[in-house]
Amino acid sequence: MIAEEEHGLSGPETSAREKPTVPKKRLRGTKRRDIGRTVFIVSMLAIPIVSWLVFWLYTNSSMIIMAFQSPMGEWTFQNFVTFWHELTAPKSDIGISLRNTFLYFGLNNLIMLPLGTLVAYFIYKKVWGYKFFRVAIFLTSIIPGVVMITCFKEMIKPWGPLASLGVPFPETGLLANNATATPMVMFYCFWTGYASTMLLMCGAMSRIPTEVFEALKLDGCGPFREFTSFVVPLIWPTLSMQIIFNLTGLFNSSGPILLMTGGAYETSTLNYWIFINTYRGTAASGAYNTVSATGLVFTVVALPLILLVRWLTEKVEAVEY
Amino acid sequence: MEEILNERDPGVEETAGSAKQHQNRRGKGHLSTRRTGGELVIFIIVFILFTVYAISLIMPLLWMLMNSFKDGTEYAIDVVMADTLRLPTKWKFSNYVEVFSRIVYNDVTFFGMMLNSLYYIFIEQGLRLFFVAVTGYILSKYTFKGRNAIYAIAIFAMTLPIIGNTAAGVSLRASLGIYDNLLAVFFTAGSGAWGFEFLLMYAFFKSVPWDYAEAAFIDGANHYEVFFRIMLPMGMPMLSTLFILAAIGSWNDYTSPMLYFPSFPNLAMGLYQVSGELTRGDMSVYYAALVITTLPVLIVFTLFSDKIMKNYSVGGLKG
Repeated sequence: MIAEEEHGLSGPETSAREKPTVPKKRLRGTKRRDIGRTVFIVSMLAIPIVSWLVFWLYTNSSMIIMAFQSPMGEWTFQNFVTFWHELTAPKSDIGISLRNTFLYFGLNNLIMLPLGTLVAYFIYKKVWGYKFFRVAIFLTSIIPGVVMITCFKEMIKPWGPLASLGVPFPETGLLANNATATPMVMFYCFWTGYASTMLLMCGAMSRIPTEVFEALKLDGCGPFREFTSFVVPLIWPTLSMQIIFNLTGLFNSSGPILLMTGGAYETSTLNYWIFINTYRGTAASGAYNTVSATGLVFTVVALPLILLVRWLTEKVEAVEY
Repeated sequence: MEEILNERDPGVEETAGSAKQHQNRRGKGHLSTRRTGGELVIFIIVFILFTVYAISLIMPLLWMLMNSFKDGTEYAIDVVMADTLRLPTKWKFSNYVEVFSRIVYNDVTFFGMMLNSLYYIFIEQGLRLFFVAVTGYILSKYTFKGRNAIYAIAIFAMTLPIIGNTAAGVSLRASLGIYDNLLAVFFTAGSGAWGFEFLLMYAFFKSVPWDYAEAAFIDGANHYEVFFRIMLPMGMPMLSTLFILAAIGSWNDYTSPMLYFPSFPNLAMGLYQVSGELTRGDMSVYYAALVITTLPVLIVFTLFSDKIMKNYSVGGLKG
């Protein structure tokens, strides 16, 4: 863009400035080029902008409007009343979904993020066979979920391969039971969810100067101290960004609920609840309005939360190197 | 951004100069081999844990592969006997042919699902990434009224944690007459041009010198020719990486087709939908279908593993 301005190809201000000194013929050429430039910009940006206005802006505005409307289009707060009753009723779908959403969020941030960073540390430090491990861990993120989950479900069936090896399973299976279904879905997430953290943190660690590690080695620093006192502070910007990303997706993280249990046995999450009510519901039944009201409430809750966490993570000073 | 995109193999410095190389060799050695005492014990434990973990990830896939060659009746008997770890008595390769006739959802055959998957990848994602390139290029290379506002709005929209807009999205498509209509992707692709990928392309084109365009203008090229013949080909390596990642995501996505194209299932959606209707005797063929579904992803991964893994973490920041 700077280069463009330097070469006199930019906006009308540049052209106007040059007017007195530019010969007429060249001026006509510049003017023609300016028109061509405008036509190019307008024609190329028109579709993305109009599409965004319709399918992003209008859709999201429409969500807000639908939240305050009945299926007949009358203005009402009934959707929020319905949402509140649903939320506060014992064993309600939304209540269970919200509980599970927080459970997944806790699992992601309190257990899997630190563990994933630790995995990345050992991959980065080239534990024997690290290339193989890196590929094996990464494959979990690209193999279709329907494949991985089918395998997992078969593994833990009472007649599955683990049972053949003598692992005891209840007759109904672990996914057909309120007490064990959610823990099993969480275990699946725990089992397969390290690919992105591993690659992201490996990337961050690879940018730490090797001199740092050499100096630590000379000082007799062990892996634990090296990881906690040096690596984590040095990769903090990436880590904090990951926390913010996770938080941005707090209410959007669904887990593989549909493929695992279809939301049965108290495994639903908020995102899944929204999905299934949109998928199975109809506009006439009012399901879309309740979904919109629920989405609006959680969007309003999430926004300040994200800003707060962003502010807090920025308070921790990043180490310059 | 270039630095991020050309991310190095962990622990390996790529710098010029012999002193640096010497230093890097030392660094590499330090990271891989020179382990003593407590560190060695920790690495042995980690190695064992990683091995067990990797086996736990791979074994279920091998189990599925093995059972995809069993006769349906044989597998059903194995299930009753809780002996599904047994090798097939007779390897039934025809399961892989039967997939194409027996896996059917809503009158859409397995082959039809495959075509739908390819449609979502090449038309929907291809079109979307084309618009990503367009927006990234124009906003990084041209100054015009509203440019900064467009950029700021794109960033702002990206950070908003909007929840629950699917119902409004379905309603809108229904009212526009493009719900459950494959042509919808031509209308919606442009709206996906403002995400994280836009930022990557914006940064990429920002780093490309304008001199190339200048030279082309002097030779009489217009703005379209500069974009399509010079800038877009220059951005192809980056775009192809984004395309590979988008293609894998689209291949595995079952929720979007369920919500917006219920009559046009892709493989992921179709396989999920048929899974509820299967008997034990059908499972071998179903496993074969799963293997076929996995193969393209594995092939793409094998061909482009470095590219995929280096750029999968493209969101990494300095630190």
